[in-house]
Amino acid sequence: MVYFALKNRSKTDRGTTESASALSRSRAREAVIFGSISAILLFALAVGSYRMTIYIQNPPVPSESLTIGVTAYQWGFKFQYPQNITTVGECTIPSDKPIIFNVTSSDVMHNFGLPDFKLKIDAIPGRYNIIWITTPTVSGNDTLTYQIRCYELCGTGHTYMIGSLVVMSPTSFNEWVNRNTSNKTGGM
Amino acid sequence: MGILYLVTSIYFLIVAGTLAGLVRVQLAVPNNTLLGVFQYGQTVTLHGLIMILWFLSPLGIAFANYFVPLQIGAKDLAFPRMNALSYWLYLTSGLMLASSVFLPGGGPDNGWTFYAPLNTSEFSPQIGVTLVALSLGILAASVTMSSINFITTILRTRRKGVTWTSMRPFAWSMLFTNVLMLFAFPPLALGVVLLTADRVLGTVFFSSMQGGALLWDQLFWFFGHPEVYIVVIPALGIIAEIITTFAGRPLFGKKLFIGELAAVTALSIGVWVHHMFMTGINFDVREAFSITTMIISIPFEGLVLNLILTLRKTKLKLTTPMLFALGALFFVIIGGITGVFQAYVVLDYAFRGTYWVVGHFHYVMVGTTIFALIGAIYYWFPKITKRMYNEKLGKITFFVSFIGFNVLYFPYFFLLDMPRRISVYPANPEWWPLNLTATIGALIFGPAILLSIVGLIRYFKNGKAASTNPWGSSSTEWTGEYAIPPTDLPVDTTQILSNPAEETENQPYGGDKGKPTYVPAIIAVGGVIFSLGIALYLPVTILGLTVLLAATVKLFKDGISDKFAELKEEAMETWPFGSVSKDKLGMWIFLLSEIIIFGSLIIVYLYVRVTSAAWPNDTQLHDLAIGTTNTIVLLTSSLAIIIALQAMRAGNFKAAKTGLAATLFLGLVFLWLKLGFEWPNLFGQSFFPTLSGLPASTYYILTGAHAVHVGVGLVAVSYLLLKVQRNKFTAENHSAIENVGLYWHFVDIVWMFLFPLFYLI
Amino acid sequence: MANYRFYVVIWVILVAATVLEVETRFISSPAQFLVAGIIAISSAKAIVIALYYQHLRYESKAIKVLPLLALVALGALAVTAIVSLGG
Repeated sequence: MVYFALKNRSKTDRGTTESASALSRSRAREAVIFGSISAILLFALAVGSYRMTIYIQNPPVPSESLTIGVTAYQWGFKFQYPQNITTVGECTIPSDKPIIFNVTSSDVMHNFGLPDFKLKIDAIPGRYNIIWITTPTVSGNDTLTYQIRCYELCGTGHTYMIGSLVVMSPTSFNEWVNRNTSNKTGGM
Repeated sequence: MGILYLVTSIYFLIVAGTLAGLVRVQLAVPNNTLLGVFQYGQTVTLHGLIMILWFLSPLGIAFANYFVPLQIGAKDLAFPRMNALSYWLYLTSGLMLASSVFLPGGGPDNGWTFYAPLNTSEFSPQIGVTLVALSLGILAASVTMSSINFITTILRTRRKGVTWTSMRPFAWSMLFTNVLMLFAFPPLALGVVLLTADRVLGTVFFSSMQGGALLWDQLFWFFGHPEVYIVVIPALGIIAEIITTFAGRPLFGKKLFIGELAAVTALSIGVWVHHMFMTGINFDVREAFSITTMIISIPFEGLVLNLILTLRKTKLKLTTPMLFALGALFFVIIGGITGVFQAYVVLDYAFRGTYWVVGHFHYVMVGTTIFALIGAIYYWFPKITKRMYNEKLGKITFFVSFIGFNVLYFPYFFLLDMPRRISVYPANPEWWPLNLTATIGALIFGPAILLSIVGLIRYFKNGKAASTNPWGSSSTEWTGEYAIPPTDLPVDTTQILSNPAEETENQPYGGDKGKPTYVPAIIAVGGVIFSLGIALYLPVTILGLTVLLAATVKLFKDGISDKFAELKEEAMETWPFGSVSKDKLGMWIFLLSEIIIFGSLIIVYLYVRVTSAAWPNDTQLHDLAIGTTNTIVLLTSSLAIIIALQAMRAGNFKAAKTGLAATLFLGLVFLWLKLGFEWPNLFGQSFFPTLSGLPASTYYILTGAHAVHVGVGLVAVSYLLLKVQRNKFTAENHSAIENVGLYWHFVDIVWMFLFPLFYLI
Repeated sequence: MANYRFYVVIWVILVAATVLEVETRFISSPAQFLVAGIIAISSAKAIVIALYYQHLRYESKAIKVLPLLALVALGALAVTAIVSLGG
């Protein structure tokens, strides 16, 4: 299309000798062809993306994954683990399991975003929205750190509403859990 | 009027453009300290609001005001004084908005989208937010009046010869734009009224869990999506006009073009949820809207194709307006494609809240729309000012702005991870070079546009005189010729009249000359004072109401029926509304906007009631006897007014007066029973929004809004009574009674639904 | 005049419908029937007012279409808003 536009800018007068009705018939035909091609393309993409959306929408079975409750607030993120641990700002996860984030907000609308995963979901007060991820394998004492950011304007602290996602090997994670179960709240 | 809109909108462009400049300078380098977070928030919020609502649309309206009548052969809009009121409301609301930053506490910093619950007093306590909400309400009133005006004008007052198939693309585009305005602005108006009620009266629509964020989302985006088409459709019409003139050939597939515009208009009301893909609402709803969004891209693409194919096989004159139009067309391709990507839910996980989205909409809103609008200024410059601008300067500003624009906005598509509306970003290498590049682009683009405008202003005074049709366009606003078979017409229509004083018997215009009046301006001022009262200090609202009342009285004394020159019936194209008078059509179109706003209000009620786990038993709370009585009272008042109408038709003035008086009396009874009896009763039971939450909030707002409409109706009925009293009506000429009756019956219909909702269910 | 009578008849119908609505409240019946019935009656009243008092029955098709368009747009909002609540 762009090519066409550019190409025709420099056309000089060529005049047309087709009769008016032939012209309009060919125009109509062209219009229908263009329209159909784009419709087909769109819907092909639609089918593909529909499948993908379903995939993203359906989190893995809770028994085979770790579910973490995320509460966005002005201006940070709180994380609640099933083992009754709560952390603020930093979320630690093991690398061997899918992780389900159950996201809500305690005040205004925020958005829990993981830019490295190109994933995000709105955090709405009174509602619980879910996204889930799987991470690359981490071994030994290594950690991988990803950024968490808020992607919905939520007040003057929006600019600085940043958290981090720390991935550890499963053994390190278990140690982490044990360390933190003794004191009820960890992190900042 | 067109010129007033033009000048005012350019003023707002400069204000909002400066704000944009501030944004870019702040984001030029990482960790910049030029603007604090709160100041930055206000900057982006006001930038968005002013640009979209007080600049882009109004500039389109400016051209519509000037050229739609010329293109369709009408003398002016259908309701010129209402048009004046539209303008004054636009100006005053804009000034009110801009003043919010100077209030203690500052202005709004919650983004132009004003999401809930951030917009409530709990999270944004500054009064500036309330003031801005009210300015949005006033603008909505202005826009709705404009749309009633334009739709009636285009549907009903075209000159003979301007058939639907021969009407110019720009006039068509303004018809569709105004239809969207009519349908889209009521929910916005409702949203801001509810928000103001939340902030000032303590209702809980947006602060409760049951209403809250999603309720605002639905209302706002039901408005917000059509709004962006309201912005872009005039641009498409302008592009069509410009390129047909400079390609020297008619639009490729004009009927198809109009059909595509119609499709886009209709579909744009059904795609709004694509702004809510990440809110976690029902999956099927999101997928359905994803599909409608894909569908709308097809006619849109068709429009672009029509425009491009118009450029084919012909010689193109690359004048300044043509360049701007071609630039706009180029941008709509990029903007459109990036828009189609966002139809897919799955991709929104990546795009939501990031600069990718910002890139997309700046391409369409700035690239397509601003370039098209500036092209329009150049294109119609000789017609408006009768002079020529400087071609060389125009071309230079085009090329510089084109380059600057792309340097400014293209980087945004690479800032996929950068959140919107952050005032400061860290120094990571993926972000700062792109941001710096964008700022450099801004420093090129902004001044180029400014230079363009300054050049136009300069040549407005000093340009060379231009001929009446310097471009050799075949469009009716230039040639003054309307395609008519000369023998079919009883009058001579080959001249455009510019001075009503030149009318003679042969001319197609009837009616008296209109005098300019300051009443619309006073009404606007009254509205502003009222709003200031609500936002700042409640007793001031009384002053506002007094001003409004005074202005209304003056309007009544002058007589409301328009005294402006307009085409005689025989000279008009009227299909398919020939059997309806202009005033009645206007009233029906007004009622459409009322249906939407009251309908949305009822939907809000149903929404919060359905989401609430527990709702008090209305039937015990609200007195059934009073409710039923009021229902019958209102039904009787409807009977009274229609009997008055029938009596008038039969020439029975006495019965007509009695009927109108009965309507007035019964209306007052209704209000007294409700406001003087029911409400104090409920107050006595401590039924307040602050204490009883949503049930009270919905009750008072719904019945209150209805009561206000009854009140306004009563004012109108009083006016009718006065006129009958003074024998101003005759058996043939009494359309006002019918039209007020239409309104009154509508108010009755609304009550037919409110009654069961509050007293029976 | 004869014409007045017509409108009075309509009025009687409307008042009767109102009384009917109020009576349904006193009928013990599952809530859905009640609500559906009441909504049906209210809509009928509204349509009668529109057709006869607002004269829509006798207007051209073009005018008749207008309120329908508004109702379609409203329908879209209503359905979407309420259905989207079911997560």
